[in-house]
Amino acid sequence: MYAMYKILRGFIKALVSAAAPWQIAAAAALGTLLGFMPLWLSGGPSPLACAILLVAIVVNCHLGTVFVFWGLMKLLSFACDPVALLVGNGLDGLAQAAAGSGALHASGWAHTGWLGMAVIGLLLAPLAAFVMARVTVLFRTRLRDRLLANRQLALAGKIGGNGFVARAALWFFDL
Amino acid sequence: MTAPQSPATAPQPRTRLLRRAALWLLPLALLVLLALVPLVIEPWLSSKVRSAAGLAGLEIAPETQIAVSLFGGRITITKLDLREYVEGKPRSLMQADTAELDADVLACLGGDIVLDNVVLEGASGDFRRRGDGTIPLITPPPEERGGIDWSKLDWWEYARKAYEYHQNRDKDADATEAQPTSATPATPAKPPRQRPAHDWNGAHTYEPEPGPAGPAMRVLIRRLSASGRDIQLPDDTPFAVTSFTVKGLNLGWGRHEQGTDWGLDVQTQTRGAGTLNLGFGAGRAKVNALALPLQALAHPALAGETIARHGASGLADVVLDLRWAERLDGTVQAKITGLKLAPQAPSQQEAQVAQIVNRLDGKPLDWTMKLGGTPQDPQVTDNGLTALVKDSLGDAAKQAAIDEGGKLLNEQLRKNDKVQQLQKNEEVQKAQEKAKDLLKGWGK
Repeated sequence: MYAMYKILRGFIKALVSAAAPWQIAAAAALGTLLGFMPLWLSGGPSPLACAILLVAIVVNCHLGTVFVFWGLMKLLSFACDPVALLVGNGLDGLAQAAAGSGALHASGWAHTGWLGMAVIGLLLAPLAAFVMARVTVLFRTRLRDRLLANRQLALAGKIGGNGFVARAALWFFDL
Repeated sequence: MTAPQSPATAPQPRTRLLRRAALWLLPLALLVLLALVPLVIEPWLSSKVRSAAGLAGLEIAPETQIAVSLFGGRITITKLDLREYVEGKPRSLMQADTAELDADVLACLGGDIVLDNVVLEGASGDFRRRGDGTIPLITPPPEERGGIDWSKLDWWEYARKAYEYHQNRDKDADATEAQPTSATPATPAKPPRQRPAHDWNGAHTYEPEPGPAGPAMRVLIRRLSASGRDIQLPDDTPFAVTSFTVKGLNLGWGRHEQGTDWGLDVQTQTRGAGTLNLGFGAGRAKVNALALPLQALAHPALAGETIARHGASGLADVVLDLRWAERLDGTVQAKITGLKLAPQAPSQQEAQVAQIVNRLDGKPLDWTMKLGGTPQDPQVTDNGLTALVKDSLGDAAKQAAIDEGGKLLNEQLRKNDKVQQLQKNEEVQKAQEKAKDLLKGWGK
């Protein structure tokens, strides 16, 4: 529960931060990729996941979003096991080809399960980037200004008859 | 006059593509890591060397110093003492003053174990049988055997299979090299092996096919140089080594390095079997034993009673030279001098052979045996006995006969000389004349 709270808080903080939409979009994409790829396999670290992590550190994307999406997508990946297996077994030829490449083999692409996961991650990453870019723009142009101007949340707290809840909500949304 | 721009409408500063902090933090982190290497990583690697020996059921003595230089790719071991524990007691198997291993770091990063240089100095070993008759390093200690009866293992069969595997691997490598580059379509590469993935139900994983073209791990020692003192062999025989030098080139297994040949040359001085030199390479093997006492071969630990009962003595220079590709071609040349036989409880035939041999009076015998067949199934194509009887043995017999005849002749000549000398003696001549005088007129 606390983890969920942290994730949600991190998500909102990213939206209201000064980061540009592209920074949040890139962070969402990289976090999604990291969530669907193993960082460490039985044979050692995955070169591909390590490279993505390095890119996330060097590129000026929103690091908080990277970690939020990494966690979220890791949770989602557990639910995607059967789909990943279907996708991976369907791409058997690619798994065989990956066995011939040292970096891809070490990244788990010769394993049909992890290959399926990576493919799902690659498909979801641009989608997550696009959605986050849009949500950021929409939140900032519409919702944030309205929230700040009308203090609707504070009003909601008053309606609830509890100033503490309102203050907590304001603190939560970093307003 | 224009109103000042409100903060909301002020142009936003352009966001940088790269994180400025990362540009100095990452090199800084790298520098910290590099600084940590001699303090943390190298001691950790040293401990891994010790634990690797532990995994093999051995122990590196605490007084052994192991220094690992990660950037230099070098492991230096001083006062090496490799031990095994049998029934809870340590027993030293191998010692060396220094051992240096230079690794090819780039090749090792690719997952291979490639050592440019291995130097071992002042080495000695003790491979005497354990109390239960098993041999250290070959047979694991009793507590690690896992119910395998090592005494029943057919080592020859294992060696044969290993040879066949290497032959097939070499053929595959040659076939890969012989493939035309563009004129004709290349034969498809071997598909990777499929294995079930144990960490994921229903998934499977592909492992690269080991072979010359695959990325399977390779273990290679490019140059080996070792020298040392005594090596105690499993049994106490005259072949116990008192000093040795070993030179090796491109020793290993796994993928081939194109255009390289391998070789291993061993020179040993033994306690009671003279000098023994061994040379091996791709398709060749040579064993050279100089001044090998035949009594050494008759040691019960080597040949049981087979040779010992003939009571053979003498010195032999033996050269075993083998070369093979598909077929084996080899010779065993032996020059035996001072051969004497003293059989114990011999049969009539053995006694006759001993008599003939001993009459040769230790004259040199040249015996050449030819080997053929295949490396897996070597055969003696010419046992060389006919030539031995015709040439060396025949010559020796003739020489013995001539010597014997000469002796008899000399004896006779000596006797004749004595007669002549007697005849020349004045007293004898006078006596003869007196006798003639006495006999004068006798019979008239």
